Amino acid sequence: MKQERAGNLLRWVECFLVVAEVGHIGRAAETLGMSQPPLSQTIRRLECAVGETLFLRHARGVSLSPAGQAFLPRAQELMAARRRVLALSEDVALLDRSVRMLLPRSVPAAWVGNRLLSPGADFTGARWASAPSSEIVREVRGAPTAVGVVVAPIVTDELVALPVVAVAQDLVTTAVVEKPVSRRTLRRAVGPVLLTAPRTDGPAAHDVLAAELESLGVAARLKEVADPLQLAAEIRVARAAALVPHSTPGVDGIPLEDGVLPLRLRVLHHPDAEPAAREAASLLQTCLSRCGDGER
Amino acid sequence: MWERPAADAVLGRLAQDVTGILRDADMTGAVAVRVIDAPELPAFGWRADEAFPAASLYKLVVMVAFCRAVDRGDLDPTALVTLRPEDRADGPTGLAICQDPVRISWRDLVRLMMTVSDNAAGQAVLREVGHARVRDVLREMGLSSTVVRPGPAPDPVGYDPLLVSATTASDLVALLCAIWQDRAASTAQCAFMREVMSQQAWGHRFAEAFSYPGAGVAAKTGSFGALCHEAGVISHPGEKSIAVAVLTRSVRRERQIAVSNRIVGQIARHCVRSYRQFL
Repeated sequence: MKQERAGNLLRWVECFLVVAEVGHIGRAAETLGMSQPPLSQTIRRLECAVGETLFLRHARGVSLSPAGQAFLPRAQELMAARRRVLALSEDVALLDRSVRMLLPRSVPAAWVGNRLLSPGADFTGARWASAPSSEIVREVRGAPTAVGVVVAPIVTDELVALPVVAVAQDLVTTAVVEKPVSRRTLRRAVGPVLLTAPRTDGPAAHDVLAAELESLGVAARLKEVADPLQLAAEIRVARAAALVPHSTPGVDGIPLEDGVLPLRLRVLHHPDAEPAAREAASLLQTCLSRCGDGER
Repeated sequence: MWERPAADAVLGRLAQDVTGILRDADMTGAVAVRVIDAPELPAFGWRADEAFPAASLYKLVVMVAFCRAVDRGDLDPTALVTLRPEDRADGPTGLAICQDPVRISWRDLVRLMMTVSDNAAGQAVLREVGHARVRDVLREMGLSSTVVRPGPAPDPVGYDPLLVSATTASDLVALLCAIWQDRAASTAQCAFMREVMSQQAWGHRFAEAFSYPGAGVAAKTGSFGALCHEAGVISHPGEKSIAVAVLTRSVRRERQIAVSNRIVGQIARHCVRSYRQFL
């Protein structure tokens, strides 16, 4: 079989389909806006390319040969594939409208998966990712399809920020302390090093945490850790303490007394957010409120 | 349980830290700390008995002498006094920068003397109270290393503790404890002193170091050229209060006083933070 350029083949197959449907070369040529001789020649070239006779010629027209009948579904497939190839921009547009959910990277994945989003809230089609809060604000500012959760306080400017939800936290520590950890015992429960998210993730939130710790008499050195794996390792190996959302699966945290060092989270979306993003933001706020101990 | 650190170990480390902070800033200094109403906890002192020019810290003693005179009925705190510009001491704040005669009560003069370190108010109150009453306060309260001499002397005499008002960090902490334990004067007058000290206007030194939520600061600064002091009481809800005195002298010129302000606050904060581990 002679190798033909794809462009020719597509054109030939298109002609084949019209001729097969109309059953007459002359009328098919009209339909295709061309004269009969080049169409006849096209069909012959196609037959030459596939090595089979595709049409049976009669006095009043043409009909599909057995080979032509076998070729028909293949030809239709090729045209469908061409439509799919050309429909890329439609799919991209669809992809752009799918909601992106951005959560702070300091929030443990296990908590998001098993506490925040359980039981299975419907976020069909949403794409999830984590990032520093400061980046999430920038991302949401540029994307009407993005929904962000950030650690408060943080400057949100023109973005729509839903009420802050205070999520109770547990202290992960190697120290043996009575439960729950009270305001008075916290300073001895923390130990010499407390792991925190990097200050650049959210400078104001970090400073507020530092001030709250000072207020509680916690003299621990704050060690900024970005990588969740490093966080897990340092808790185990370096005997560092950390704060995690209450009842994070797989972490033996000790609950903190009510109102002590809550994780303040807030949901954000673009002021001109797509309806799907608004819905997702509202649903996420519902999930968050369920984990929170009241809005503050 | 994370071992509660032994007091000796923590205070030993504190002395090293204070030395380090001052050395980094190229400053000399003295520090004293005591938790009020906690006799079981050791006091901390670093060069605490070394005399420093008091600068405006002399106003603390004058305030106590004033309150005791009120207690004895010698002075009416609400009586009005007129201060004329020609009789007033110079200074950068308060009535010292006003141009016209001012009519004001004695207790509000004390308030200006303490909250904005008004030199005109300080001089007027000291004149009214008299040096004899001030000496009585120092003797009766056992502040043997503190002396109040008339008028601030110009640089460089200002740096010689033998020529100007002088004090030590431990005397200041003892005085603060007496005010907080209602021993310095009557209960009412001690409450007045604590209130006035909590109204200090400055946002630097102690105020900046203890700006985190929940911390209360009642203090008096002392500044004169390269001298940068503050003495006061830091409180936290539900905890015993901590009296701190930090006296420093810089080798720098005045323009770098921001460094001194920061160091005074940093030392106080470090001391308080260390003590709170026992509370």
